[in-house]
Amino acid sequence: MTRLDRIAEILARQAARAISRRSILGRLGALASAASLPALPVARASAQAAKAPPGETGDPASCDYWRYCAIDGFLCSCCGGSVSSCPPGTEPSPITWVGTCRNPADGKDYVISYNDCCGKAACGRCICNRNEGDTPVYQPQGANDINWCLGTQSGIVYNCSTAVVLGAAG
Amino acid sequence: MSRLSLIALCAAIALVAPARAELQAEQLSVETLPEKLPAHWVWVNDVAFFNMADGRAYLIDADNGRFVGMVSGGYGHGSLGLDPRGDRFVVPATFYSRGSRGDRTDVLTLYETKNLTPGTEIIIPAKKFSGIPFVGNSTLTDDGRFALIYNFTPEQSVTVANLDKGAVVGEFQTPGCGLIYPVGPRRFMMQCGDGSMQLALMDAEGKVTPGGVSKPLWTQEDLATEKAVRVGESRWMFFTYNSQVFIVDGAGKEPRVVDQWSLVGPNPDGWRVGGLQPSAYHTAQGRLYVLMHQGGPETRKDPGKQVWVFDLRTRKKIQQIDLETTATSIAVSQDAKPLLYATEFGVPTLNIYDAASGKKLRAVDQLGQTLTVIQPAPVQPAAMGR
Repeated sequence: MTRLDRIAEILARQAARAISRRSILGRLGALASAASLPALPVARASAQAAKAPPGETGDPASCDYWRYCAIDGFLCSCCGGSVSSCPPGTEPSPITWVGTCRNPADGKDYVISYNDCCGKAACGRCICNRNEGDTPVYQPQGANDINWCLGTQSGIVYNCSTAVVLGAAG
Repeated sequence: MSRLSLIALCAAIALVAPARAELQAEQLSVETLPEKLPAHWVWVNDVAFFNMADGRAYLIDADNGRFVGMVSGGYGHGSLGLDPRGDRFVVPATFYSRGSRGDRTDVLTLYETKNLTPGTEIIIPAKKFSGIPFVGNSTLTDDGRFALIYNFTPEQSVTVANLDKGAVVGEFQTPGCGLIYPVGPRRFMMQCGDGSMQLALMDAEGKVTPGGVSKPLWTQEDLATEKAVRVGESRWMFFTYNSQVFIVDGAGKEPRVVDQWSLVGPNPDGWRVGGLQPSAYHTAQGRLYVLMHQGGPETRKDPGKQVWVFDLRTRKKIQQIDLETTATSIAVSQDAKPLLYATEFGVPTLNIYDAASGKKLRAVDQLGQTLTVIQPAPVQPAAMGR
């Protein structure tokens, strides 16, 4: 199985699990990702400390944190959310771009979904732009120059970006 | 005149003089501008990344650095649609009825250069691409009659509006392809996901039908970016991550590569094209200006401090301009004594250089927040040649 196949499989699986058939994402398959699932309360609580989750090193409030290798925007970890949760009162984008980043703690590559959090004005904190593997917008599934809030009920008003682990890139 | 009389006269003048020096009441007025953009006037767009509902564009007289005026954009402001004649332009914009929420309205607003006052509004489908601005996001046809707007929902389409009639012509699906690169009065090219390009053909009323599709023009390992520059009426230059250049011609049945080479040669030493608007072309002089820096492929959006100047006819590098400060956008005026403009995203300054000598002439500071696309006074596309 090629790496791309693996990524597609992960995305398709996540999409099937996370997204209603009626949604726009039904037409999109590979573009969909996991973070439309609401984050668990426990995840939100731990996010406030901006500590690296178990099995990871680094500061999620810092642009050089490993998961941010293809991110572009304000870090939700600095905005009342975390790498895997949106700030209170915002709406996660159900579709987004993905990147592949290497976790220095275990040396493995992971598929990261950079879901935007939407519905409030730009957070303005911890701006971060890294472009490892980022694609042009005509290949949108890997493009971080797109405002991915377009899939939400809130509209396209962008607040911050998360970096959710979808799975090992294989 | 007796001495006494002279003293009396001087005293009288002294008494009267302060009254004469007193400031007169003024009439408040509004400035007006020339009918058409002068060659050294330049629009600088600001996406206002920290306050995205408040995008805008600033108009600068680069000959003296004077801030001439501005227009307000909407949420995630991109760039203006400048009529090639320079006398009018369109501001494509997205608004929410309650600022950051409520109903979304996408609208084209027509302005005249001479007064920068909002005129005709054309409500368009609320699907306009939102993101970092590129030259291919929206434009006018070469005759200035139609506005073309790239939509991303993430389904891709193009909205066409007739500016003279003040009405939308339609929304046309462009599955798998997007962005807009005009190659004639009634045709444009689009970039497609597999690395190919597709033509789109317009009829006299502005309706779009799909045109020919090329084979993939660049590899998945070294994709061309969206940061292209027009180098002829029917030709655009694209840059890959590794600074290969492709000149693509859209005059035929399908887009085709008419020239291809490396900007950095066999030993690039890490030199790479980079930035948000990393290239400019002076049509009459045939000179290509490219913003360069050293770094890996992931640095393709990074700022550069060198501008390499190429003669497009010979492909030879004929000049190097060392900018005083780094830049992410460059542009060049189209007259016989061109100015080179440079801005950096996040730095509120427009830097103005003499393009011929590379000497910095002046800077305009306190200019917005997050500057993106620079738009010099346009030239008529017919003057661009093939």
